[in-house]
Amino acid sequence: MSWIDGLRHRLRTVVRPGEFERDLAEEMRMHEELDAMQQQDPHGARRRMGNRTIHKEDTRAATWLRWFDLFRQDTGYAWRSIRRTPGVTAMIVVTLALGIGVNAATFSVLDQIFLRDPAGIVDPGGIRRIWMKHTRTGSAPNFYGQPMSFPQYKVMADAWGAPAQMAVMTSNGGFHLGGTRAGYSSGILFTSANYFTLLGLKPAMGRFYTDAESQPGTVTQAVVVSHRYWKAHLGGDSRIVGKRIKLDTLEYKVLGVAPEGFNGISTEAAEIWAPLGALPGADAPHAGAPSIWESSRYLVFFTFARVRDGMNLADFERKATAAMRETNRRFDGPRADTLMLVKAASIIQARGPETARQEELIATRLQGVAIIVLIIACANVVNLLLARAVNRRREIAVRLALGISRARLVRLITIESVVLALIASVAALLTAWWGGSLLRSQLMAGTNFAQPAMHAHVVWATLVVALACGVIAGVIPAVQFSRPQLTADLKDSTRSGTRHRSRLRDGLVAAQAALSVMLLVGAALFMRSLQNVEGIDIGFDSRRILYGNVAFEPGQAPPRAGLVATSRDVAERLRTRPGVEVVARAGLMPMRGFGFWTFYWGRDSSRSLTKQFPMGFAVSPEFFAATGMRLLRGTTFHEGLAGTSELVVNEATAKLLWPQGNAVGQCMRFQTSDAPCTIVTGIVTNATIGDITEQPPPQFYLPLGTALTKDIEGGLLIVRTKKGAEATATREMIALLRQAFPTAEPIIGSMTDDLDPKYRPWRLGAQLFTGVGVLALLVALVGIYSTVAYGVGQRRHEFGVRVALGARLGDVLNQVVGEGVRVVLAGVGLGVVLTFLTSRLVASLLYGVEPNDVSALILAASTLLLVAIVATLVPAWRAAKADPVQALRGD
Amino acid sequence: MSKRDLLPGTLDMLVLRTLSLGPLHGYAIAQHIEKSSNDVFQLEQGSLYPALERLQGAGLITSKWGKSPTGRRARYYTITTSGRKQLGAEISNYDALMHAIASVLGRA
Repeated sequence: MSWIDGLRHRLRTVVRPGEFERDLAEEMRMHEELDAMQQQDPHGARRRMGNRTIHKEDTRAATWLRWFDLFRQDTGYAWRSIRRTPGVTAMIVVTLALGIGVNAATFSVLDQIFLRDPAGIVDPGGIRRIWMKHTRTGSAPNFYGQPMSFPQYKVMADAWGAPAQMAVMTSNGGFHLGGTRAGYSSGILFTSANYFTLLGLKPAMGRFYTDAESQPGTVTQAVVVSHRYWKAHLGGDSRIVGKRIKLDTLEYKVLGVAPEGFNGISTEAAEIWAPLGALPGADAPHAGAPSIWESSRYLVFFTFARVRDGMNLADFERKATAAMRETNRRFDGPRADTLMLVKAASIIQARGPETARQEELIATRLQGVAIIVLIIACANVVNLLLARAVNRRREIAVRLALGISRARLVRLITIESVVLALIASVAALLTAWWGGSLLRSQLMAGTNFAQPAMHAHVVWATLVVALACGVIAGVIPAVQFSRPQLTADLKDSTRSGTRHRSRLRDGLVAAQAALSVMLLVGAALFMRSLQNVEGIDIGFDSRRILYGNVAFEPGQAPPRAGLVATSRDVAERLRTRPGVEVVARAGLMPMRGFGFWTFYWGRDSSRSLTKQFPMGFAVSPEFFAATGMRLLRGTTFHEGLAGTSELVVNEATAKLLWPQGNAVGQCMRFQTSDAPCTIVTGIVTNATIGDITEQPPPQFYLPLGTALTKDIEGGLLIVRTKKGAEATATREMIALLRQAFPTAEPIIGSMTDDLDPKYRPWRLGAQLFTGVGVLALLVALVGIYSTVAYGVGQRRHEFGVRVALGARLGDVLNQVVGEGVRVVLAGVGLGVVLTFLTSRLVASLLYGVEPNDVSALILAASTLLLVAIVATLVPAWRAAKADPVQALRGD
Repeated sequence: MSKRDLLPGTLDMLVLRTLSLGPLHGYAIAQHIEKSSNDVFQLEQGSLYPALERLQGAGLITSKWGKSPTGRRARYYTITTSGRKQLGAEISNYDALMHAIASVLGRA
């Protein structure tokens, strides 16, 4: 095919330009020599050859080298003109860097949560996690969850069709390396042996455990460690395989090291893997209870499987759903979840059917906001470039007159903005790296990340966005200014009286204003939400509450009876110490956990409660005083009565169980319907138990040390300190605890610390959206200022005439500010409309405030207008103060 | 005739026609065009080379370095099959054009 020859020729000239040039020169020289010989006239030959340089250039222009030449010329031109106006260039680069950088930062977080496959795995697309939809009765709506019981896993594996293709795992946390509390603490993932083979992993050193070693019932004390863990905590010892390491109280043999870069399949890094059978306490979790492998109550197992070629996932889901419902019926009887649904979903956890967690919602909304900021930044840049192009009108007109094609001119101007954008993208990547890490650590604090924040995805995304911005920001002014109006432009047209109001520029300013209003409204809404959340009555008075506890070295905790007595003793002694107001004891920290007891009241049993099940806590009588819960009726209970027992209920329980009358004095009988009466002595306020924004559930409080609560140690001290005496109280607590438990480490916490993570998403949301809102405001400020400044600069002549004719300062100010503000006002109107349309998207992140809150809108609009007035005032002032003679005379 | 009067398309066609008679080097092509036109066409010799490059890029001719009869290194151009086809097409276009002009002028 001849066109292939043509192609080959073209490529050859591009790949070897030197050879092309040399050959052409030689050929033309030979041509001339031959001609000279033929005509016997060397000078004539020279003449007949013509202008060799032009011919050479024309020949070169007929090859593909033309594009390289053009590109080099255009880039050189772009570079020179960038250097000529450093101020505007700097503003453009900074604006773009901020816009692109913010996007890259949020994208890196989103990428990590939603888009990145776990590293180091073969064909992650072929792996599916198994989810179940629970239709539990209870106050929680239907929800999707991954954890299942071991019998349920077996059912799933059967339904998959090839049980060996499904792996099962469960994790336990907090194993200290070296057996002391000072050692590095990490979780262990107990898995079936096919975990490694299904993921396509090969050990970096040693081997993985086998099927035989990981069977339930076989206890193989061996582990595989991650490459990172091996390097960081085992010293990168090249002889680690076969050595034993101590994790808490047990020794494990290191079988192998996982390949570098593999840190599990979740966002949180997995550091140690052990055979499933080695799960501590699996065989007899409580005395007399069935083992974890047989019981349906321990929903702690996660499963994933590899899809076979030609396998139909819908079939699996149907089979598994049917099998699961049957299994539930068999195990749980009448209370079984017979509406359970099974789903197979992506290996990336965030893409599963579970409702998005708050962090994920914030991350996605933040990305939307970042995109808006980018649009504002780009609009800004277009405006700056338009303004700059106005100054170069004459130069462009000359080029057009000389015959440059319009396409070439557009390309020329666009290349300039692309170069600027690429420069900005370097700065943006740095912003992204720093910002992305910051965002990650704030949004998902405490996570030990499996993957680094920066990834090729982010770099590519940044470059693509920068390129797109550069092209768009350059094409618009380029197209506008390449329209030939030669005569007007060649002459110096600044003297003409025409208004240089560009509709495009005004439109861009209005657009910026509109988007800024949206962001400011968002910021106001989030601040208000935070205020509301912080104002919620959580039922406790969280100021001045300290927790005291001790931590023993693994395996060194003394027997329970001694612990209880010592704790009570410590509490007694603490009561008389300075700085201490109230001391109480409890089994668990408030909001950390609860227990379920079966009880009977009136003629009903707790089994009949389907919607709300009261949760129980074991506490000492001073608990309510210590935590600031108010007794609405009655009194707290007495401690340690052998005969009658007493309890306190909260408002919600009182309403649930005795909706008609007074709960005080009523009876609850625990465990059997003819058990002795436990009298309700008081009703206490509702206290939050999990999510601050959720309605507190029914709860009741039992005294420590009775027959019902004998299993609970009550070793936690809850201390209310006197005003300003926190430090004193802390010291006293540490001293007494050390005295009582010399081998243990006292741990002092506070309720405010405990509450902090609950408020954090709200605080974070407010901070982030406010930060972005302020950023957008700044960018809009710069945009409005520069647009007005350039406009005023162009009309210097006009203003000079006005002032010379007697216009006063006030008149000029009025005119300029009025013009500017009118445009911004239009933008604000548009922004209000946009806000109404899009506010639904953030509704789920707000609390106690409607997305269309009027006061927030008013606040945002007025802030922006104020900023606009300030921005237009400065150039207006300068225009008014300019010397009219200069303006009239000048260029 | 100066270079300007000869449109780039026409020059390409003349080069193809010349090469359809056999492989030639650049100077020989220029000579042939001048001679065959009885010196009516006096090319600016250098303008041949952009045309040759264009034709090579389109795959209508190929080139190879060889030895001239006098023993010097010279680049010889050969027409390709698609070159011949293109020549045929261009010639019939040209004929149609000339015929039309002649008709209008009343010369047909």
